[in-house]
Amino acid sequence: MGSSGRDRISDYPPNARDALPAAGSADGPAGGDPCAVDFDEVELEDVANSEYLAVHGSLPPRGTEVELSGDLHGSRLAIVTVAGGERIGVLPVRLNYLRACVEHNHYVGNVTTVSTSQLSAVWVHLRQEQR
Amino acid sequence: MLLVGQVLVDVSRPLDPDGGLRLGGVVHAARMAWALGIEFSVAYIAPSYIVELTDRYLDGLGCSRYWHLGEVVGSPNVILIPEPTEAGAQGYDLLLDNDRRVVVDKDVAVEAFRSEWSVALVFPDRTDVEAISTHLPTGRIEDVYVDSALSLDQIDRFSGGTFITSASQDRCANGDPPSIASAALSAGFTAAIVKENRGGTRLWRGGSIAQAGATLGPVVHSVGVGDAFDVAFAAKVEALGDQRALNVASQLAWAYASTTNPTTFQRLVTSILANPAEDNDSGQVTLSWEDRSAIEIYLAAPDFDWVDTSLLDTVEQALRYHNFSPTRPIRVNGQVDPRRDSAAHLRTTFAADMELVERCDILIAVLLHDDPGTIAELGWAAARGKRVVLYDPMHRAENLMLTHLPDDVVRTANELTAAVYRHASAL
Repeated sequence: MGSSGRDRISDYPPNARDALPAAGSADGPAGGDPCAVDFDEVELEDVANSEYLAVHGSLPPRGTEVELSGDLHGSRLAIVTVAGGERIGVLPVRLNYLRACVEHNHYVGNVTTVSTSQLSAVWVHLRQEQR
Repeated sequence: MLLVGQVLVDVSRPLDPDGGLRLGGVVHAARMAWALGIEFSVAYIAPSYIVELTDRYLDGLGCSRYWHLGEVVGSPNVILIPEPTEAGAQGYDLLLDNDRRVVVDKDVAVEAFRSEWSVALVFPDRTDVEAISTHLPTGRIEDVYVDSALSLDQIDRFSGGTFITSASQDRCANGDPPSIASAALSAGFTAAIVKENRGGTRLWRGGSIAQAGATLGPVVHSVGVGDAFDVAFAAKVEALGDQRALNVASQLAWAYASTTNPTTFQRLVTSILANPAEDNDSGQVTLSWEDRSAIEIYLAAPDFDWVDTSLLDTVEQALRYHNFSPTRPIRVNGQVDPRRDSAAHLRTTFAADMELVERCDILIAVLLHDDPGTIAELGWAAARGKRVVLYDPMHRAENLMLTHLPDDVVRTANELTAAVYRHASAL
C-alpha cells in the first residue's frame, strides 16, 4: 500500500511543479503561476511595421537585448530593445495574459533568430525575473 | 457581501497522485472576495468533519463573520473532478449525492441573516434551496445574486435579484442563453447572467445586453471559476456598470483559473484591477453558446474500425461539451475498402470527403499515428486557407510540414480547446 499524497486539504497539489501549465520552462510557486515562465523562442508579430525597422532600416541583429515593454502597442504587448526602447514587434495574442504579470515581473532576453527571406520575422527568447 | 452556500471538498484528478484536495463550494467565492479586499461574511452548510478546517480557512481569508448554517448528512460532500481544466466535461461526481440532505439550524440562520446586507450571493442546490429561501430575508437585501443550476421555479423566492447560471448541454437543453435569460426576466429577476465558459459571458438587463470575452491564458483548473466570477461582478458592478464589470470580472476569473496558490492569485487580481484590459481586447475570446454549433469543424484522423479511436472520441466529446458540432467524415460518408470497393464508390466517397473539407471552417488533425490521409487533409486544408490545428498528444510531429503548416500545434486537451475557441471566435 502506498499513499496517494492526498493526506490533507490544501491549496497546493502534492507535486506542485507538475501542476504548472506548459508554457515554457516552468518552475515556480506551488499551485502554479502563469507569470513564472520563460519563453524559449517566440516569433514576434507586426515586425514589418515596427519602430525599429522604421528607424534603422533593418531588423535587429541576433543577440540584441530585448525586454517586454510596460506600455501597450494598441492592445498588444510590445517587445522593445533594452538599449533604445525601440519596438521590434509584439507578442502573439495568446500571450496577452502577460499583461497581468508585468507589474510584478520583468521579461528580458535577446533576439535569437532573424529572417528576411520571405517576410520579416524575428524570434526572441524571454526570461522571467521578479521585480 | 454575504456569501451563502455549501462547502465541498474538491478532489481533482482522483486517479492521479498529483491531483489535490481543496476546499470548494462557497469557498471559491470567498477566495475571490479576499483577493479583492472587500469585506465579506459566509453562511455555510457543511458536514461536521470540515467545520473546523473551514472556520480556520475563512479566518485566514479575513472573513468578517461566518456561521455554520447547517449540517450535511448522508454524504461527505466530496466531489471528484477527473477533468479540472474543463477541456471537456469535468465529470463532476458528488459522492453519495442521492443520499445527501441538509439540516439547517434555524437559530443560526436567524442569527446569520439578522443583519442588513447590501449584497448577498447565494449558491443554492436541491438539498438546501428550500431552507435558504425560507430563512434568507431577500426583502432586506439590496442586491441578491443567485447562481444555480436549479430551474427558475425552484428559485422563485429570489426573483427580484440577479439570476446567474452557466451554459451547458443540460442547462441549454430546452433553450439557448437568450431564451434562458428571457425566461428569468419574465420570472421577475431584474437581470440574468449566463456564463459561457471559454466563450465569455452575457448579461441581460431591461432591454440591454452586455457581453464580455473570456481571457486567453494558461488554465490550471476551472473549478469554482464561475463562483469567483460572480463575486467579482457583484463587487464591481455598482462602480463600473454592467459592461465594464463583466469585462473585469472575466479577467479576474481567469486569474482564479490560472493558479491554486492564493498569494499568486491575489497578486494577479491586484495587477488586473490596476490595469484591466479594455473591452474587446484582442486577448479575449467572445463566442456565444448558440453560435458554436454552426461552425464547421472537420476532424481529420485515422478513424477506422481497426484503430483505437478513443483519443479521437475524447476530442469529439470535448468539443460537443462546448457546443461545437465536429464532423467525423467516416461517420458521414462511410469507410471504404480500397481492395474491395469499386472505383466508382471510391471516387464518390473521396469527392464527398473533399466537399466536407472544402466546407469546413476549422480542420483539426488528430495525429494518432502517421496516417497519410490525415496528413494529406491537413496539407490540403492549409493550402485552401482553412484554419488548421494539429493535435499531437504523443509528440509525433517532427517533419516541418507538420509543424509549420498548421496554425497551431497543440499537445494537450486543454490547449486544443483553447485553440478551437480562439480560431472559432476569429471567424
